[in-house]
Amino acid sequence: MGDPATGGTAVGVERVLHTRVATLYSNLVTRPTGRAVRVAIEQQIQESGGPCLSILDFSQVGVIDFSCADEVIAKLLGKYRRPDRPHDAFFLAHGVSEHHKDLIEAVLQRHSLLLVAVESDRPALWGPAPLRLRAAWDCLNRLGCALSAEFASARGVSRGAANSWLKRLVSWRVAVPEAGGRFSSLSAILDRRPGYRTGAVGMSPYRIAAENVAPYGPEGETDNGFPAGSEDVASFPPESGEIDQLPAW
Amino acid sequence: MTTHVLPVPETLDDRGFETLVASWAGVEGGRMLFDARHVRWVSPYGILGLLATGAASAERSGERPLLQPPESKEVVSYLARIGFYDQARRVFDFQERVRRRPAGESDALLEITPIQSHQDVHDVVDRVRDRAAAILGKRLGYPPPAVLHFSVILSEVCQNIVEHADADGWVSAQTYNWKQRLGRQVVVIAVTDVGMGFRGSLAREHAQRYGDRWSDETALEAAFLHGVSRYRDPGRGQGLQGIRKQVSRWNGLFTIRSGTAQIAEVPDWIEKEPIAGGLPDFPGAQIQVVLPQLIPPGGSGKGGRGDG
Repeated sequence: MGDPATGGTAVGVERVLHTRVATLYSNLVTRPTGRAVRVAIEQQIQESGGPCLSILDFSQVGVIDFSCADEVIAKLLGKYRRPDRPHDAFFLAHGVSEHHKDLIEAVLQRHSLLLVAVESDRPALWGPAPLRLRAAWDCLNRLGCALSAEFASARGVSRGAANSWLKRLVSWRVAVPEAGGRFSSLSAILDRRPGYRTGAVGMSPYRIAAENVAPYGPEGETDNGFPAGSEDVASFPPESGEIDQLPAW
Repeated sequence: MTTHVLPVPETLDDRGFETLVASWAGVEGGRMLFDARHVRWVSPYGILGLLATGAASAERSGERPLLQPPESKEVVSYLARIGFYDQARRVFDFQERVRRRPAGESDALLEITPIQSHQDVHDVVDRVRDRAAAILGKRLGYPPPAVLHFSVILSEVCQNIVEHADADGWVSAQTYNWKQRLGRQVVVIAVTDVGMGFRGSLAREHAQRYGDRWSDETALEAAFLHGVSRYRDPGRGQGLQGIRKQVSRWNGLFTIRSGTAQIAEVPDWIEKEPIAGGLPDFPGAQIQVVLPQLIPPGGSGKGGRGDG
């Protein structure tokens, strides 16, 4: 806890929440519908009590329109990316079709947000990520879980630059800072959950039951009490020359 | 009390609607009588335009206008099938020759449907899906995912009424064989309302910035081209942008008329100005989307691009 590599911001993920997005409607259209879905997800996150990975399951969703995608995806990602977010939550889209992807990508572009989605059983990074940020995400995704030194070696960059890249991924909520100075990809967190990949884990409709699973991360590190947002991008150390400039997001 | 007679054009399509609006705008005060006896052909845009003109007349004069319904048996039957009389009863005073919609489903993609709430938008999207899949896929050659994009277009144009018009509106969709204009089948979606229009909707947030240039044209440009919305929420305004992109991908036509102006995403199969001003003033917004039958790769002629 409080490892210098993460700047004292170990969060980990205590729970994985599986949310069937289509519980209320199979066609996600209109803003009020989007708001209802988002509020239900937020409630589920709040009830989970600790840092969580929220899996947004679109497998039963037929149509999703721009208004609804904006209300659900953009507002959720925006809210939980802010320094004043109510809880530490990460999001992963699952069961998405090409149609969902088109609409969600448009919304991510509009708001300059990033989202990890599972496509054909593989994680993909959606949204307008600059090439080098995407490469960093790819690298962490390959490693699964890594110390900044391991990431530096895999990327061929200095440890300082590696640390900065990893924190940047965290600030975009597409990687999780864990205890002991490690960083995890979102898919690595899923891989730790037995049965998930084979679909053996039952899905509970949100509002009815958030799934509680064993805490992830080392014992004693799960409820660390670090204030949400303390690893926000504003607290990043000065970047090295190895890090490309992000657009003014 | 004066009653003004407005002749409804024989061909009641987008051009017929402009003719009707020009007559309507030239009348001041008094009750109106819409003489539709000689109507021989209607499009969804034209028939919704007739309802809108009737509603605008009632709003202006405080009296329900009169309607002399079409006399052509084919037109009467068609209007009954697409639910025109059910809606016209709420707008016009008229002698009904056809009192009931014929039993069974019509062949319309979407009958004339009032849009008053978000629930109506849900209902439209739910209802149209199976028919859209059959028509877009089997008759117009669109790939299966197109029905989802089509539903998004329908949802967003209908929400435009609920979110921005501050008034009720209608939607309808139909397939046609545009032999003369295009030599292909098309799907036409029409949405209309008689609310505040784009200029009225955007004025509070954006008029000051435009100063003297603020007009129906600039308001339409702001919304259509730049995704500007009346709300400060940066997520607003994506719907029209998304429709433009999708319709353009399918080489379709997308027009919005509001106030005295019309703006369009123009495909290569039609000659049309992308923006036109100086039209007869008419309240609300009138939207039309035309999606042509797709040309298979290697095919020739005018129509949609077969790249799905």
